[in-house]
Amino acid sequence: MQLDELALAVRNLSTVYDTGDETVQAVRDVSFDLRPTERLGVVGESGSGKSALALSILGLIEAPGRVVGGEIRLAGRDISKLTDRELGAIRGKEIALVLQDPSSALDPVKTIGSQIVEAIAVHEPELRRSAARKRAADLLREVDISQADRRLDDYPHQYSGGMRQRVAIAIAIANNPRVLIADEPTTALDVTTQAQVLALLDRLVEEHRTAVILITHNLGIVSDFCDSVAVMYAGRFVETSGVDHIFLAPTHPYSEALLKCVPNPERLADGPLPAITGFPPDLARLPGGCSFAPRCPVGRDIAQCHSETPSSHHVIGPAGTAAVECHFAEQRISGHTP
Amino acid sequence: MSRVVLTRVLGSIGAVFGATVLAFVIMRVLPGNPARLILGPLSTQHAVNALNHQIGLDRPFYVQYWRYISDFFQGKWGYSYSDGEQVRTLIGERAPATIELALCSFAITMFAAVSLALLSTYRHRPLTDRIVRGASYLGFGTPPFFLALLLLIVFFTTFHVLPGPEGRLGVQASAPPEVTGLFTVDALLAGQLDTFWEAFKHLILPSLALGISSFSFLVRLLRANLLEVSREPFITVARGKGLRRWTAFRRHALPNAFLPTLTAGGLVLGEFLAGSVLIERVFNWPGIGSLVFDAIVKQDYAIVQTFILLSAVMFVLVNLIVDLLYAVIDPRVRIPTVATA
Amino acid sequence: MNEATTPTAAATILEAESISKVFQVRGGERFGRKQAVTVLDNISLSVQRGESFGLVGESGCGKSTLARCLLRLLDLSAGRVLFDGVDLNTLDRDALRALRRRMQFVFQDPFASLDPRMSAAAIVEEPLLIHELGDQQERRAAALEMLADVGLTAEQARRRPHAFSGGQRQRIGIARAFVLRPEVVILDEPISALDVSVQAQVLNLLGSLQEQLGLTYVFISHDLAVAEYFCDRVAVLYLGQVMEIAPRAELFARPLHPYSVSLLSAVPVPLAGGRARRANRPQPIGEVGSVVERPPGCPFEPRCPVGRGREICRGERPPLKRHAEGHFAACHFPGEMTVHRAGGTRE
Repeated sequence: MQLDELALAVRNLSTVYDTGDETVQAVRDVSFDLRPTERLGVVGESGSGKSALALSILGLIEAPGRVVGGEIRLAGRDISKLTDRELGAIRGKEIALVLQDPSSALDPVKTIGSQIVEAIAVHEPELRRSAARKRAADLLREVDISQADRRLDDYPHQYSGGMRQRVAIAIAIANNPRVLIADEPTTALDVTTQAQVLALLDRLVEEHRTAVILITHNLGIVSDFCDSVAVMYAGRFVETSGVDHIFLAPTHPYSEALLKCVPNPERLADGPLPAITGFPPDLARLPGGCSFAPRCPVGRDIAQCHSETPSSHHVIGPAGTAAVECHFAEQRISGHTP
Repeated sequence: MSRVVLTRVLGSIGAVFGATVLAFVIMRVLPGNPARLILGPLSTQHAVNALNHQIGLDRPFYVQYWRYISDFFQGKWGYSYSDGEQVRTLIGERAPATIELALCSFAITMFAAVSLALLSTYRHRPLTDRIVRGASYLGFGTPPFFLALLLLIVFFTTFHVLPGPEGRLGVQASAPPEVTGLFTVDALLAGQLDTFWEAFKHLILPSLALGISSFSFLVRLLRANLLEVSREPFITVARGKGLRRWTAFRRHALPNAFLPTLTAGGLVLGEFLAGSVLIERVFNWPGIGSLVFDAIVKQDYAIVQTFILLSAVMFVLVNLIVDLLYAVIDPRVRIPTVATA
Repeated sequence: MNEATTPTAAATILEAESISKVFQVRGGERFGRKQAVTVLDNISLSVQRGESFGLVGESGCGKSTLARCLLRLLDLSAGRVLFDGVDLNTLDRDALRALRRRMQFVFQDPFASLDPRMSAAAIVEEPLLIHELGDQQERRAAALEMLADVGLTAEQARRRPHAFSGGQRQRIGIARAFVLRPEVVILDEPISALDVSVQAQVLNLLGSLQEQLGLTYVFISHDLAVAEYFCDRVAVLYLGQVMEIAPRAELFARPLHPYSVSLLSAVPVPLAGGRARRANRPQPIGEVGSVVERPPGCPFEPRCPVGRGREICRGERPPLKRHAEGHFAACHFPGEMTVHRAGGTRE
């Protein structure tokens, strides 16, 4: 697909945080494509840089952090060099954001209605209050909140967690964005509420034909919701592929280890879980070579892994192609192919 | 909301009555007979008894108490035997000076605290932040009267830019026609711009001296609150909607950060209104603080008694206003939360 | 009291008999007035010696309150808890303290449950100090040994909590709970605050310690996959009542209660072909109910795809009935709802 046909094309995005004593490399040379209506799942643990990635795309990295390189093309247009004012016209309109914690994602001293209206009014300042209010009520109905007109005047603390997250989603889709970035949108919710909110999100992005970047640590959600997946470790995308590939033939050792160490109801084995040894790396003091090497069951004792940073290897597996940053990608994938 | 108002008002009334009881008990428990003190050590017992009866000190406690508070709330504040004036007159003469100083100091303090807190938190400026924090530490440690003297030495004695310790206007200017008693306001109302300027110049140094420790306290509080609030996800969400940085900050961070500062501000204002003896002494400011101080030294019951109640009432009033403002601004106070498990 | 300190060989080590816990809460609809909120509503269950007993449920189900009642960290409003046959209510303060040696608690938050001013060794030593066991040298040695068991060196033992990662802090919390060699350990969401890869490490540690020390676990979790992996028997709670208790294989293969079914269906499974599967999942209606407004009959009725609107479900609270060996369900129509899961083989 041509660059301008893609909803989002990110090339070599890098972000650092300069805290005086040390420099934390939060995002390192990340590249990916997002087609219109595609749903990309970004999987990573804490310290993987996934939240920094979301903020970097939106240009919301605050000092002492800064984006130090790369291109972000939204429908062909490079938005990485825009000023804050110019980006303001894009945020909330072309790219929207949903955050993790519904209890603190809404201003506690303002009504729900005013916060939805604000999302609309920023991009349509001439819209009359009554019209904006009507649209806000429609949005509440769209996210399955009943008695919408009355509930516009409620405050966030009068809503439950699931309802607040729906409001956050309503705010995000208010202006029909091209891309929606959701950072752990259901992590703070109950299991059944989580399922409902995901189902809602699924329906909405279908209807509005929105592309989605869904950031999560939960591989099950990726399986349910996404078309493609990128596994993030120490600021890099170590494996990027279609969603089925990652479950059928996880090629990067981290992807494989991550899948194995999570208790999976469908693949129950007794005995200890194959856990990943060691701890997530310190992003301020990254080792040379592959950042997963110290913990890697494959590369732990291999000199090349500790000295040479692997480039992106394109491999073909049983469920499609994948880009894998591992010196042994080809060998590993052929081990999977029947 | 009406429930909130009701409970707060009832609470305030309770607080005032508590203060009256406390004041009454303390006064009665103190050694010495007020009548004798008033008449002097050489008075006869007969005269003392007569005055006792006149003042009502021979009546039962609850009668005395009732007279005490009913007189107070009717404005009958007694007679100052040492100054030879109605207490009401004395206080009325001196109150405007204290009020003007309090309001001016409060305005300067709040403005400075808010500006500096914003300056050091709005954008990531580690140097500015450090300077502001350092300044606030200095402020904490410096006694107001010491700073007052220091300011006088610098701005009056050395550089001659501001007036010295000559009260509200100095000898040359005369007071503007009285409307509110606040010279700056009255001068403006009367169109006397020179007088306004004089009055204002005389206010600057005492306001600064009075406000310094409160400023330190407020700037640190507000800075901490702003930092905390600006890290909240809803600020990121607001930016994610497309709001400009300042708009998001102004609409969402400031109101939330201000709430706790509001309470602190109320306390500060109450403190200022109660008057500061030392500042008044240093600047020769004819306020209530020095009036009451002298009254205590001279054992002038009437003034002291009235002042205790007056400052209690005023303090409670200020806090009541703050509480109600809080309820207006923060919906969580006036609307109960959905009880989720 | 000797009763409390002398362990018996009985199979049931911990038992809750019809326990209820009511809290007085201010606010809500009747502003200013206190409202009685029944957080635990007539719960009965028993834990066998040596097993891992799981308590699962969503917010409001009362699992954390239940955990605290089992240890008598909270007093009951009704019913009784028996530890090794002894009614906890009958114990005075000293006897209770003696009992606490045999029953310990691991908290959810590895950051908040450790005193930031104490070294790791001191934290682990503290229980020994409180129960006046051994002299200073022996205590220090025991603490270091326990820390070694959880994978922390003597060098690390000298540091304070802030120098450790979340997973390491949780290990310290575990060491602290285990140093007294208790018989029962109640774990309240011990891994929820940890990263996925660290969760596996801590689960393995808990498993090996259980084998090594012959422990009984009460494991509270909102994560069903973890409960399924780790526990021998699982109780499903909803709004303060037990919905179902079953051995794990039974519960996850043949759940009888519609709530259990909904819960299981809602868990996203990391397997290929997820999107196609998800379309067929039954979901409960609405959100998790409020404990304040618990309905008189079955608490799940308003959301139940099976029982919603049915008179018996609305009016009559279903009793916990035995359906198979060790399998209990509180439902008027058990087994009517089936779970859609991906075909997968158990290895």
